[in-house]
Amino acid sequence: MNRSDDPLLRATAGGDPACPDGQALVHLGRVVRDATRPPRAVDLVPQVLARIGHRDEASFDDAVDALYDGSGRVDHPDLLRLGGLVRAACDPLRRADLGKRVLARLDGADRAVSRQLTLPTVSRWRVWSSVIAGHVAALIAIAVWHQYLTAPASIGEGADGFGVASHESPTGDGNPIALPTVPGDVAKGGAQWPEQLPTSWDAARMRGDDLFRLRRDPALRDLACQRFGQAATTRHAVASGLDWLSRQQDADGRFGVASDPGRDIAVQSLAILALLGEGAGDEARLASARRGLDWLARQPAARDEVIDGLVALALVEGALWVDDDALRAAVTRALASLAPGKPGASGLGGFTLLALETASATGLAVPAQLIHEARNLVGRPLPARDDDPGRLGLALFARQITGRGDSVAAMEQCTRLAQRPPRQDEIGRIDPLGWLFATLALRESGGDAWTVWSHGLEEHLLGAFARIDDQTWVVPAARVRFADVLPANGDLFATSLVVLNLQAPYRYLPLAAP
Amino acid sequence: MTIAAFRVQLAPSGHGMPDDDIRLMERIRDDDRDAVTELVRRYQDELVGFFYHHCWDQLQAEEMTQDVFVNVYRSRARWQPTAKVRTWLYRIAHNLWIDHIRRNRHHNVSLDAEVGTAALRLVDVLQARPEPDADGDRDQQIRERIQVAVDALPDGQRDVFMLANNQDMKYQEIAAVLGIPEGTVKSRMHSAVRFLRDELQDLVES
Repeated sequence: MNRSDDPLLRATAGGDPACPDGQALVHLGRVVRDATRPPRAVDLVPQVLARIGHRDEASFDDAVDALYDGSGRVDHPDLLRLGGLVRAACDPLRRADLGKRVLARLDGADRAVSRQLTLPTVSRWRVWSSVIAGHVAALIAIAVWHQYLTAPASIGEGADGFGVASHESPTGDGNPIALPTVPGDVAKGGAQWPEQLPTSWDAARMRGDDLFRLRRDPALRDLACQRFGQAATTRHAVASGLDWLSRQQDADGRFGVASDPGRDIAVQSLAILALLGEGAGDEARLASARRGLDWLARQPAARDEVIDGLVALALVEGALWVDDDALRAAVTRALASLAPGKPGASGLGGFTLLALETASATGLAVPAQLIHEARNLVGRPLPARDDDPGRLGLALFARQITGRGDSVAAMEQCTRLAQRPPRQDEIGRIDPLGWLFATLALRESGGDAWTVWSHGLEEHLLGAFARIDDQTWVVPAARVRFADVLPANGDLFATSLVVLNLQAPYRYLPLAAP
Repeated sequence: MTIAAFRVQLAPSGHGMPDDDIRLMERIRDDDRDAVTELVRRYQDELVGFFYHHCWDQLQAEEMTQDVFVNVYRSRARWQPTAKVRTWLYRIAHNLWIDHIRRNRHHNVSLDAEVGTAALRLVDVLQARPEPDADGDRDQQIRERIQVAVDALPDGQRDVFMLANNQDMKYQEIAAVLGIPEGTVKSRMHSAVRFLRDELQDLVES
């Protein structure tokens, strides 16, 4: 039936004046329609298309534009959630207050200009004298090698008076490389410089070499200082700095005062590494390191790849000095929790690599997969050219300890580091964290690069010490990059790092020159 | 997988009013150090955030943020109130970052290049690592996974997305900061959001 034929239908649809109850019926129809209508209008197109595997990208893009370039209101829960997740994940971990630091830089920039006007001649003279001294040393070394190559192929004293250990050529990892020994390399008490050195840390493990050999024998440590040109003043600074560090320890073994847990264990680890870096010869110092290790072993992981790497390194070195089951268990836990990351600025991330490589080279149990990851994640994206000495230094040191110190990239890195020896920033701060891996690497390289680098390093590190009295030297946090942002224990952080750099000549057994 | 610890922020932190900013810059132009401090306090958090998502290194982000304000101060005499101060700050920050990556551009040389080992990416390690049992570890994993996804965006898309999403900028302002047409901002934004939606699908839909 056609709607127009039926008066009742006409009335319910639009009202029919011919029908007496038309208006009432119209009202009834409206009420029924309203009561039975779904509560809200829907657009099922996106859901239906999604269920059949089709995405309405145009609508999605519209939602994106509405959210980010419109009113900001959009009914798209997934898009809102995505934005919120990224904001939360990409937020910096802490809030910084940079006001004072910016003002200090503005003031320091003025001072830097005046320094540049007064000091360039002196600085150039220092660099050139270092370079000339390096070339003279190289000429002497060439003469020594010439004598060595023409000497008899046997162990004993040659006609020229130089001792010759062996003439065998290196045949691969683990095989010794002969080095000439000179009479001056015999220390007091008969300690002799190691003649046959490993070519990598893996080779050291295979040969049973002790990576810490120079630290375990005070006479060898002194010999290392002599070979690598460290002055008596520097030795005194290191000893005085370590004395000050020991005095900052409480009865529980903690260095400094409680502040942020993650930073506390980072500072604790650095102090322990500095104390252990000096090695044998002072029982009180080692006892202090031991108490520090006990405290550190009781702390939970920081869940920060840099701090956890630092803690692991301190525990690993501790376990190689102290025979203790609890400490070994802590080492196992610390190594298992490591997550190798990226190299980062200043070589941060290198502590993880160093912890794993040290543990591996000294026979501690290390998951093979972790070493593999560290070499690929920390050591792999190694810059051949970079302005950051920390990254460059880590890149070079990683190559050296894995037996690739003679690669073209390593030589390029060595050259670039030597071109930019340590210097203060525009507000007079030094950067011992950024210089640490470079220092370790250039000690391995030796030669002119080490001469130039170590000259600048000692000058700036020694200049940063504040001398409270003759036996108490401390590096104030304000003089050290990154230490000035620590809310507490900045002096501990600064002094430990400076000492670590100055201990480079004897920290690890040197590798054979490539 | 839990995301309980994630503070989902639907509204990024606010910033100073444009008029206030202009008055502040006028004081800085007159060498008022208190105004420098005020400007730093006003914008330090968002600029640290801007650099942080480029380098994932808080200390470096703070150093570069200081560079921005030092540059602002040094060029204070040339400042003209023709653009929003905030946009100008971000433009300086963007240029500083570009300079930084140009200066540090390096060809990565593989440590294992001699033996041809395939590279491991962070995402591979995250997937290979055994399932942790602590909520903190899971949250950290999620955080890292999102950062890896953001890292995987092409540079142009990442800049646009992060300025829009994390710095609460409209397309026109992003175009001014990056020096690109607004249409390009729009198309990069669409591509970036689609990519992240697909990469993080399980997190977004959970």
